[in-house]
This record gives sequence, structure tokens and C-alpha cells, in this order.
Amino acid sequence: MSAAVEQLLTVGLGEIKTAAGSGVLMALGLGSCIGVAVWDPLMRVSGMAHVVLPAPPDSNPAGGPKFATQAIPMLLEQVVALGANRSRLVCKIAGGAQVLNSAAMRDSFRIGERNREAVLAALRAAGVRVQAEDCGGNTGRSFRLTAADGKMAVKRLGSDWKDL
Amino acid sequence: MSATFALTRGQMARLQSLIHEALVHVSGGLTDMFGAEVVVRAMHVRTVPLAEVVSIVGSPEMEVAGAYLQSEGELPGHLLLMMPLSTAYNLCDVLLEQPAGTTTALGEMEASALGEVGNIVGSFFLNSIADRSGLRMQVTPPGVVNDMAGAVIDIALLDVAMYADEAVVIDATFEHGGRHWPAWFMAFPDPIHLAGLVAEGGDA
Repeated sequence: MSAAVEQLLTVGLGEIKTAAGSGVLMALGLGSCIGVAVWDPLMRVSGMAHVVLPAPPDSNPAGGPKFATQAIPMLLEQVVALGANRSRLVCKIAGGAQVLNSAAMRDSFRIGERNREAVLAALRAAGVRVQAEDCGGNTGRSFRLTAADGKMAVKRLGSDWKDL
Repeated sequence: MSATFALTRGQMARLQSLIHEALVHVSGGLTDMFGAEVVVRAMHVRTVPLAEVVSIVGSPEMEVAGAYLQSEGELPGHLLLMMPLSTAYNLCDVLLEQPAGTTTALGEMEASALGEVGNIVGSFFLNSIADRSGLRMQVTPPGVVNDMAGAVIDIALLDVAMYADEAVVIDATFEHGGRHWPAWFMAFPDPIHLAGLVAEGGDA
């Protein structure tokens, strides 16, 4: 089945979605957020997280999938529940831009960089290696993963999809 | 546990009253700036799950331009003025006193014009709320943005996302010269401080 007729699953801010066998997972308009995509080539199981922040504050320890420290374990747990094996996972990430480059803004606007660091640390802790990434810069991007063949691609404003 | 926005009906009514009055002030500021009547209308004041905020403007991939500002002080928050590029070009033509259709890209002059509009919107909006609530707040200088809508909204939602899974979103649209200009003004008040505004502030 071609990607054009497959179900599109938009992964919104702070969400995790999975697909088994078919479907296209998409995180659209990522700015400082990071899209984390994993795919098991044997089971054709895929998952994507749309990470918003590195870690929850002390006052909100429950956090949730919008935080990298919790999104990564939750994403892996969900794809494993669908039959994926961690050791086979192909993992790629995209996003983490600094869209607003203004000296007037607070240092918190390095959030894209901090998100990337937190995502990489959480993946490393889980034993998952990142095979490719398209992170940083000053422009937003969209990120997609096709469950059937594991193809991952990134699109920037005014550009076509490019394989990652 | 994440903070929630369980505003009572009375608190929401109070918030809407503050917002509507503030937007009247914004309309006045923009009318002075443009030299012709500009009306800013509040479309909604509502609570929206974070993942759905971007749907207010349509596609997260739509190219938008605009200005981002922060509110600092007793009611921290984030303000975002966003518009499709066509609106931004129209707006620049009016402000730069050029024939319609002249602006076809956002250079330094155009970015400055957009920043000024953002500054007027943010300042008049916050000044009105400060006057009525008694809360002290200041607006930061505007940062001009031009990117995918989703990427721009990310900027404004970060602080809210730290503590909550939903945002109180105020979105408004603009009319100028009898024409509707597609544009969105969004305010994302800090969830922890919002209760102070609707429960204790001023005479609203």
C-alpha cells in the first residue's frame, strides 16, 4: 500500500502515537519541540513522540509524555507492547530549533538545544542508538515516519520532504 | 499533578470581561497607528488541550508571520500576534504607505513594522488588564517571527506546558477598512498566576 492512501496519524504537542504494519506518523510544525521516531523493521511496528520540554519541574513531578525524560520510556514501552524489540529499533529524531532568535528573550529560548540533549540522554539510558537526526537551526520542520517501510523524512517551510 | 484551569463560570465571565475591554483598547491603539479604524474582536476565550491549540489557526505547517511578546510581573504570560503572509504583506503596505501589493517579502523594514504592530497590541492589551485588575506587569520588546504556525506557537506554549496540559487561549481576529484580515492574537497567561487575575484583581 502506498503512503498516499495510508492513515495519517498526527502526533500533537506532548503526544505519543504508534502504528503497526501501516499508517504514517507525523509531527507537524516542530519548533523547539523534538519528534522522536522509532521503527522495528521485523515487526513493522513504529512509534513517534512529540517532546515539548526536557524534564518536569520539581513542583510537577508526575510530568507526562510532553517531557523527554518520560516520553522516551513511554514510547519504548508502547512499541514493545506491540511486539517491537528494543535492540532492533531504528531511531531518528528531528526538531529542536530556535525559531525566535531575539536577544530580548530569556535564555529559556535555548529550549530546542536542551530538548535535544534530554532526548539523547533518555535514549542513551534506554539503550537505543540514534541513527540520524535533523535538529537545531532557526526554522521549524515537520517529521514523518511511514510504518510499512520505516522511511523517515523531514520537511521545512517551502521545501519538499527529504529522507532522513 | 499538572495545574488545571478549572475556572468557575464566574471566573470565566470575569476573564472574558477583562479580555473584551482590553481588546477595545487594542483596537483604539491600532486605529491611531493605522490612521483608520481597526477593530479587534475576541473570537473565543477558552481552555484548550495543548495538542489542539495550533488547530485554532488551521494547519501547523501554514506559514505565518507575526510578533511574540512576554508579559512579565504579577501576571506572567505569552502573547502572540500571528497572521498569514498575505495579511502581513497587506499590513506592511498600509504602515509603510505603499500601494497595495508592493510588499512581497519580509525584509528589515517589514519586520520592524510587524514588530511595532505587535508592540501596540501587546502594550494596549496588558495596560488595560493592569489598569482594571491592579496587577503590575510589563511587556517585553517584540520578537518578530516567520515560520510554520506550529513552530511559532511552540514558543508561546513552553511555560504553560511546564505546569499544565491545557492552555487558556484568547484568540481574536482583525477588521480594517471594512475588510476582515485573517490574523490571530493569542494570549497564554501563566496558569499559576491566572487565578489571581480572575479571583482577586480590581473591580472587574
